[in-house]
Amino acid sequence: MVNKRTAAVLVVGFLVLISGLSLWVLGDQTDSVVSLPLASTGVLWAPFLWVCGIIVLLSAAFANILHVKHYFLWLVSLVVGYLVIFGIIIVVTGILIP
Amino acid sequence: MKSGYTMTPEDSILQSVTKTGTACYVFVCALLVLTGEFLYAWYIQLTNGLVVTGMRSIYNAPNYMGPYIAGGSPWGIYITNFIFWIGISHAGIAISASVRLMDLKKYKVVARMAEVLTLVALPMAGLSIVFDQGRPDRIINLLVYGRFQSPMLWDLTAITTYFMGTIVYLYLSLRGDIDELARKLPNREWFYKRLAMNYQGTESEKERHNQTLWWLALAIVPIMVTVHSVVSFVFGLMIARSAWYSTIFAIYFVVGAIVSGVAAVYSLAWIFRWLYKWESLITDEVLKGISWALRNVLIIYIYLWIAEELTTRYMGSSADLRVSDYLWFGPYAPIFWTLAIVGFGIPAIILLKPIFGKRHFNPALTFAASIILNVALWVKRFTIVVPSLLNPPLYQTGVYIPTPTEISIMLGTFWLATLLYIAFIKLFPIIDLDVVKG
Repeated sequence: MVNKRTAAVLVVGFLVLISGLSLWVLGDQTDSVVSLPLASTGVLWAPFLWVCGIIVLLSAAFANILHVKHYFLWLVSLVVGYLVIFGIIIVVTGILIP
Repeated sequence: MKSGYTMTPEDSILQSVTKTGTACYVFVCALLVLTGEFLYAWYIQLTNGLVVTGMRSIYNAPNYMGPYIAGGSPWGIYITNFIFWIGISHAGIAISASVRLMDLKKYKVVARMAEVLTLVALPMAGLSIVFDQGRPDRIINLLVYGRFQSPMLWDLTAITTYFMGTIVYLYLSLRGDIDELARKLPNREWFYKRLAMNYQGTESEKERHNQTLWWLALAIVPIMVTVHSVVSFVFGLMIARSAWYSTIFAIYFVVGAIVSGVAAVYSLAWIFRWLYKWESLITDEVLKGISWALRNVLIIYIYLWIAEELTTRYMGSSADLRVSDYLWFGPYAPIFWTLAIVGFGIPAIILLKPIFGKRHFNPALTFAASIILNVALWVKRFTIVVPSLLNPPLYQTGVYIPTPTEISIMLGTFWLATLLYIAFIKLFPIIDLDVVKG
């Protein structure tokens, strides 16, 4: 039986995921900007939004188990930790690449 | 150990956390030196660019008639390594999830080894992609401008989902043990207490954990299949390259991943059993069960391989046949036939032997087979990636020779993964304490 808190987190995660995908589709300009493939999405960070949605969805497993304070600590750690990995790669390689 | 003292099963499991011998320190120091060498090689690559590798889009090769342009291989051992690590990561959670979903209590003893394997292998797969990029400082563009039409973004999404799912799953399955460690190891109490996050260990709490883990296991199995299918799509959806465009690729990659993952779990189980004398925990029965699973998926993999080769040899396009000839009779023939006979044939014979009688199961020999299989699967991925790129439809056949820098960087993922695994077993028990609690 899924309890209310878990269900609420699942719904929020799903909405964030769908929002990310929808924003990407809405901003997609692939047809008009074929020569600039990297600029094909009009809404920046849309992929990150759906990644966040996935993280929230998976963290629903904690919702019924951890105290609210600990739950948010985990959630923030997962999102921030994910970005930190990218940050470290960008900073370190950015310094070294001439 | 004092004479007359009998180690409890719990103490036996916790040996890996509480005791560190000289051999372990020496091994870690050696790994640190090798990691240093790897970091230096990566520094060389970052400062000089991918020109220090053997990877080329096209290859300027002189011959007796003057210079000509031949195909190079823009992907090499980094991408091979990426597929390899994704494959290794597969079995981790798959085994653990299967144990939970099918209530295979006997195999719970290897579940955590498998989970940690996934956790360690996935970052190595990601790193392999970073090594392959000319400008890793622009990696954030994937999250900012990523195109949904690109299998590269599918990869990022699938791997992220799998990695996050693994972290959540591992933490939940580990939380009870972390709380136990806080009581058993007072000098590290501050660390474990914080990490246990107010775990009470009540029956209702344990029940909630088990329920959640069951649902999470159910969700993780399709994610796992998705991850390797998506990896295969990077190749299988490419019509411009010979011998890649195929409907069989997704299942071929998934089964290959399960073979390498199960083989890696067998290797780990055997090594831990040998290191810590865990014969009573990781019994012959358990090892035999894993080897049976390995044998079955290996047979399916060999079948898929034969089906793929037969289709190409019998009625393949001229471009596909060119790649196939290159593998069967060309410069890659020694690799290809060694792979088929030594890499897959011998392990298959070792694994099939126990069918003819219980006494034929030899744990040490099966361990050798599992190691050979993983080396073979690495080489198999190499023979999927490189020969197709070396034989492009528009150019003559090219050459790809990995440079020492490239090899050092590729090997670096193995040193890092081993270090991370050792760090984990020095902090947490590698066997669930519930196994001995009943």
